[in-house]
Amino acid sequence: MQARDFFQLIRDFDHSLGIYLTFPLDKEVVEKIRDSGGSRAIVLHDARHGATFDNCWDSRVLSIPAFPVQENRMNLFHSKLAVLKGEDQIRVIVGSQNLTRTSFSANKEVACLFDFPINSPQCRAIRDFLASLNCSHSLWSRAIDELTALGPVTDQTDGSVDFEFISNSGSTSIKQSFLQTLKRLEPPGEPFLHIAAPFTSQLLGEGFHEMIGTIKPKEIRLYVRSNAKIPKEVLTASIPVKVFAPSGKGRQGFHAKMIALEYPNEMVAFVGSANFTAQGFFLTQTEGGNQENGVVFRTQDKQDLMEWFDKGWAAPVSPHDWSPSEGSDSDAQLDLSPYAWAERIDASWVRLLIFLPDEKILRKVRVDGRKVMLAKDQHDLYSVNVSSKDQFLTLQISNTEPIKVAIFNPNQYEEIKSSDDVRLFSHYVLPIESWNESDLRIAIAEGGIRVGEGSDQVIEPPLLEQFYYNVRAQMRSIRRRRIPTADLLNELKTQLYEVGATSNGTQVLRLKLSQGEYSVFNDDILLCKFVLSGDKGIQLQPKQPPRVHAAIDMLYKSRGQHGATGLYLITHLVRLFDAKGWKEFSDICLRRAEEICIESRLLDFTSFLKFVRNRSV
Amino acid sequence: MSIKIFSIKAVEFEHGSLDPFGFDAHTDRLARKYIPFSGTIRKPIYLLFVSYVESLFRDGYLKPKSRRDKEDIRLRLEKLLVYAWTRRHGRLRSQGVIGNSIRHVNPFEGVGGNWVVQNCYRIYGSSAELLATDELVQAYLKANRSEIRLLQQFLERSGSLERNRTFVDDLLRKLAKRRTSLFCGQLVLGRQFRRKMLRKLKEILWEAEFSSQASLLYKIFNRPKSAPKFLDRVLVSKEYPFHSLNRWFSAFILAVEADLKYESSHHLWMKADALYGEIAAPRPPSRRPKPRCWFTQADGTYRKSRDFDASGWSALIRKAEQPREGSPFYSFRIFALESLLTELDSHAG
Repeated sequence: MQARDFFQLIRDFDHSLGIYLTFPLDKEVVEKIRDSGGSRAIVLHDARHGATFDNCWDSRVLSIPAFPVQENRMNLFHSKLAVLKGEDQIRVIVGSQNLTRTSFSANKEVACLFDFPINSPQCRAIRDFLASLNCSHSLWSRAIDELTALGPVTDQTDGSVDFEFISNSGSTSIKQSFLQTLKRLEPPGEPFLHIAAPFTSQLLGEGFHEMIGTIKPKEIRLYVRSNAKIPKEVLTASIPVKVFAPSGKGRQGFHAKMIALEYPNEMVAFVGSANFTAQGFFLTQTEGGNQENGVVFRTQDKQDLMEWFDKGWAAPVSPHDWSPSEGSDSDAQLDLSPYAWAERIDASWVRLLIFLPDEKILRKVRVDGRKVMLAKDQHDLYSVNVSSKDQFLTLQISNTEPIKVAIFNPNQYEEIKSSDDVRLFSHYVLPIESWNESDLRIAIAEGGIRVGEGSDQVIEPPLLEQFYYNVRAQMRSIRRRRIPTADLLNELKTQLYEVGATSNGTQVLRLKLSQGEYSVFNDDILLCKFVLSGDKGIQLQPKQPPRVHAAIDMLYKSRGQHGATGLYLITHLVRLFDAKGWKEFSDICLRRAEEICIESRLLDFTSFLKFVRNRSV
Repeated sequence: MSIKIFSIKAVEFEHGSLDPFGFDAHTDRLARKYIPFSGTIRKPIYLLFVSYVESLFRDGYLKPKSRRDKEDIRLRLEKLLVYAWTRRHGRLRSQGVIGNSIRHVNPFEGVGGNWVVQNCYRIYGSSAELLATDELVQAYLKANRSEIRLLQQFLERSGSLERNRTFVDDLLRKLAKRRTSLFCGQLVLGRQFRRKMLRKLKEILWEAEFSSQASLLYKIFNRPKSAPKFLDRVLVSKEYPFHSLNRWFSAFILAVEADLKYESSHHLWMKADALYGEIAAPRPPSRRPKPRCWFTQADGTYRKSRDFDASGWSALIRKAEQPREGSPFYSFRIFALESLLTELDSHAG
């Protein structure tokens, strides 16, 4: 099985929002996620295992403590998932990895990666799962809406891979979801059952017998940590069982969770967050089960998976010969340490949320040097509103060293979000990126004109040169857009009426377009020819009469006659939309071009059409 | 759609997170006061590069549309610099070049492309202006103003390296003609800029606490290759706080180790506390520093946490158990200044 860099997979996928579910988390990993691109990140973690951040990256990272849907004193928020929202796809990474240093530096973890079209049934299943989570933060529900916002016009489904995203709930366990999917997939014959999980519980309950009865395995192969205890049900099973412990490097940090059914010609596998314990796999949340998720898929490529089960394990023993070594055999026995999260309520007040595992230190909390009275929030979470206009709070718990807590600002987060919205014509910060004449003039006055190398060849007026660059930049931006939506279509309609004004009737310049060459006529007198191409900007054809400067200038200077520039932009838009297959978009452009041709009398529309269609993109 | 099932590849985290008690941060802070440039500065060309790029933004030659665009431009220019070096020199091992392990550098891709997280702006950013002053940047701009247009054209293009092969070949050919350009492919800074930078370095070192030993400073500049030998004297000299700090580091680490093994640690803590009292540094670290990683702390006792790194901790123990005169607990930082001196001086002529 190939080893992949989790952070590289994030970096490789251009996304505006990343949603991460984890049991515990470390600040260093969140830092690394930030370094891996993506505009914003939301991290949901188990409420008892959080981290304090001294940086929230200009409110780009939101960390939210979460509880299982059906809260129970002992159950945990144990889901592990990464969902990245790209422009027309979402990337999903499901596996056993937590957002901790050990997961990404020492542990043996397994994960699966999928890219789905937005609004595909798979995408909707994940959105529904996220929406069902026990999280009341106001930005959370908006983040879920955002996942499927600006989706494609039509739904896309892909039946090439048999797989299902599964999770548990108050009434369903992971085992039930797994068996239901298995029934749907109907794999043939009796398989070898491979169960890999670092932790097991001594009693699995009736669910185990139901699972074995449904799968009817020839043999069970259990891959567990050397300190794991073999469940009683496995010890008494009537089927042959082999137990494997990790060997070599993987001995210390085996943390992968995978159940694979090996059939003669295919495999069906579950990969996810659930350990092979009652709490992880067999119980519903009402019965005390954790919050878990995973995927079940069928694959013909057995070799990849079997390689993982074949390498890195000590010789198998029977469950009766298994003698577990000492040490913690549960994820839940991690240290509980206090952490804090600060969020701005308004300009002067901040809400501080603190997890305190020990009530004794409740009255020993100081914020910015002052003692505070904490009010109970949920379980071991406490909160207090403090006055601060700063970016940070200083928190001291008991006699430990004071720590800095960054203050998350929801308004700043929203501002960043709105700047991430997909637009056809980007809203540039700098006016130089516009093709409106007034903007161009401001831009040139402020920053000078952007010209190609060899400035001595640049022909005045500079506005045309600038316009040429701006159209090129705009086309590059539009080329990256991949989904035609109704919003983008409306934006195009508005923008097209910003360009290409009509003639004032006093002096009409006509334009002849041929093979990428623009010829400007005044009545029937040829004033000049020029091409707009390559890196060199405007190039006049050789041996032009001196009046060409004035001619091009006229194209611009008279507000009523710059329809030619509108047509130039529309030419590029039509070709681009044709190439993308966005027929409705190119039709609108052509309608507007026809209007400009008629109103400005620059050239007749048939010539324009010929020019547009004859030249390749 | 396809399934990619994979195991998670191990990655390296920032060095700072392997510094459980913040000793690195303390020595860094102290070194900044006593031995400027003993941190991570090694390659002077990066100092000018970082300041130069920032000045292009400041002076409006580069106009990013957003913060992300700015980051994109920075990374692309850094990649272009490295690409120019690799084109001229091939593999760049032991040259202090960031990202030399990346086989295929694509300068037409910024954020999100294949590049190291630890880029030159992070490493050199905070200290670049100390040596690459505005005066130096202006001198560079005066000598290389025409390259800005080439860089602007370069930044307007995007896509794969293959698609832009002709363009980039042409660009590097033009840049290589400019002998003093940062992008000409030379691994050392142009002579005129090196001299200016060395002069600034001397000025700063003379103004630092370090100048109390004038003879030492003279020796360093006269014989840059022997600089480590002279600089080591600072670390073991009782006139400087490094000595007492190092002794406390060693004792502290051994006391924590005894706690972890549930051995009797009382006498070790007594020793560590006594040495702590001897620290002559301004703003010393806390007597019982809060662990940044590997440990949890409760009632003054350190216990392993879930991210405990056994091999990292063993390395610290080995250093703490073998204190020799002339081989202090933290000595590696001196190398940076020595390297800076050598690179600026050996070619300065």
